[in-house]
Amino acid sequence: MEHHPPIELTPKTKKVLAVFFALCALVVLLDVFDLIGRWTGSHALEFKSHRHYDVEGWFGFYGVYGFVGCVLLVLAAKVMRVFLMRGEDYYDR
Amino acid sequence: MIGSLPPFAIFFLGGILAAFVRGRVRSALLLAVPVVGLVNLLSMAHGDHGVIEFLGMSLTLTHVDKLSYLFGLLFHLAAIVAIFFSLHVKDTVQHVSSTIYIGGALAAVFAGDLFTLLLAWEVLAVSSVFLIWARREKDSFGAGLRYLIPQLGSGVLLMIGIALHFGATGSLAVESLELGSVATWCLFLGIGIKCAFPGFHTWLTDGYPAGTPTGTVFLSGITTKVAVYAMARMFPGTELLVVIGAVMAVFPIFYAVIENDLRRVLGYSMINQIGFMMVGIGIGTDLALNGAVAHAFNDVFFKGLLFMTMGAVLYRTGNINGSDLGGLWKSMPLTGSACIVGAASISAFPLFSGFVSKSMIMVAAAEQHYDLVWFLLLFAAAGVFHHAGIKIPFFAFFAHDSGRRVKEAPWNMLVAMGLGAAMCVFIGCFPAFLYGMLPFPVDYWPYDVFHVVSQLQLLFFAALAFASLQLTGIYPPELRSVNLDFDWFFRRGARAFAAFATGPLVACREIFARRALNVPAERITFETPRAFVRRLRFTPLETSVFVVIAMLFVFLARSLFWG
Repeated sequence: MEHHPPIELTPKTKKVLAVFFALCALVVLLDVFDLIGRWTGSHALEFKSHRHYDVEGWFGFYGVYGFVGCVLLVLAAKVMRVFLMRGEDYYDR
Repeated sequence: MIGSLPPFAIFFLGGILAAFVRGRVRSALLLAVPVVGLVNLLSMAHGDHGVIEFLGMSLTLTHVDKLSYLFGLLFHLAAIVAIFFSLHVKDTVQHVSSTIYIGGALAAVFAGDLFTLLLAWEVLAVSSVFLIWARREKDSFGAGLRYLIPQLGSGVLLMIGIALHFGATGSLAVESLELGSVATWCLFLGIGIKCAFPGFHTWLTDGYPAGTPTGTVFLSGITTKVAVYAMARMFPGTELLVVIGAVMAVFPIFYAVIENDLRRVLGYSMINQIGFMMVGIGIGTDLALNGAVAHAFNDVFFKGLLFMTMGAVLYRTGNINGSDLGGLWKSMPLTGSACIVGAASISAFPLFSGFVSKSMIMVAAAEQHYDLVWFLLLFAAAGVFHHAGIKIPFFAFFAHDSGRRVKEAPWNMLVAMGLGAAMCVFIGCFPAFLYGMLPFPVDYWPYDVFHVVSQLQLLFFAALAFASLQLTGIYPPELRSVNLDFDWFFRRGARAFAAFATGPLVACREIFARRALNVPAERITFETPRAFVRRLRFTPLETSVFVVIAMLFVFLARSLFWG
């Protein structure tokens, strides 16, 4: 069984990652507008007013949900491998 | 003449004619078929066309309303893209079967009665399997059979359901039904098998990765979408579908993370997308049904696009395992770009097609207070980005450079991928085009600040999870392997059953050999079906043709006696 080495951190990769992390921070910080809108009572800023669930109004809810969900997904899938993974020729044997 | 032909007739005729011409003439003919079909469709008025008398029943070959028209248009457009994609192929079997396959799909969605639907259902099953067998590899024959048997099983259930339903109500109308009687359950399960219901889904994850690079593009767009159409037509608002759909949306993403064959990853992600559609159909409100149908429409293009890019990779490198690819961006930048557009669309990035349809189902779920389902779908939506959105392009085109240097995909593949990508972006940017064709009036607009911001957050942080797990080395490596799924029960179970069933035979052999002939038992051997076929010196493809013709005979006899 061969393993891929983890991502090679070339200068280019580092730059791409830096931009990506900055974008992540940006999309979460957009939620600040909603909070300000709620505190000041400005309907123009409060963009989450038509939410269906209270948690959607929390700061960064979607980000946290996406991150935690995907980490759990991968960890669960790793555990699944223990039970489900067989050799490539399993059905030919 | 035009405007009065049943849409499927053009494809059936074209498919048959394609067998008798070669080269450029065939290419021109194949491309002309969907174009002529499209002209014919566009000039068709809503209502019933082509009512014929058959075995004492009155059959409606073409029933045009908003729903069937949308799917009809969808299959014509998809046909143009997929036929373009496969123009370089020099294989009569594939060209003929794929054209007839699309014809079967059109016959199914325009079927004005259940009997016509059943016939189309069987055409779909039988014509599509050749796109797997035509790969002519060691495993193709078995994979094709494992694909075909559930397809025909679905047809049998449908037939029993129709017969019972006709007996009870005297109606052959394709209309909305309530689950309850044996008849409706048979119909529901028959359609459900083709929808890849959990437990009956392995024909998809087993069969699609086994198809030819171009054949799988046809497969991905047609069979399940016809089933989604039938489900939307016959079982809208069936609450059970919400549960089934939620399961379908969630469980495949776990498999997709650990699967190595990138086309099988797409297969699992397809079940996940159909899960969304099932939830929409199950909720059954106007918004939910619109969402399900719109998502089916978009899925054909973005999933087709992803299958096209992976087909191009397979065609050029001869390999589709995540563990053996990587670094292809240097060789196939155009294919890679198309793949990223497909990935962005399936992940529902703003400005791409998935964004305008998936959210309709989510909003409908929240409005009808399917709270748990809503949170599960949100998780599934993040998971989609994780495996289809990042994993597919990452392991094929980036990641660890495999050192493979190949040519960019052939021009016809690039054109087809370009058309698919253009469709994804066009619908993402101008959703009104799609919304205007949906079965119910649309009172929904996807682009508001909350939706865009929340979706971006969800996707960026799903990507952040991927990046963190990769950087820390926690992410499971791509490994050449088989992951056990429900097909274990069919494949290993069938073997155990065969051993059990032949047990008495083996015992008889022992007794017969020792008592009567006085020779060692091993001298008398049983022939397996495969050895028998080998002795007849047939290739798998020829054998397949015989098997299919035999099945057609059985089917014909069956329908004659029933009629």
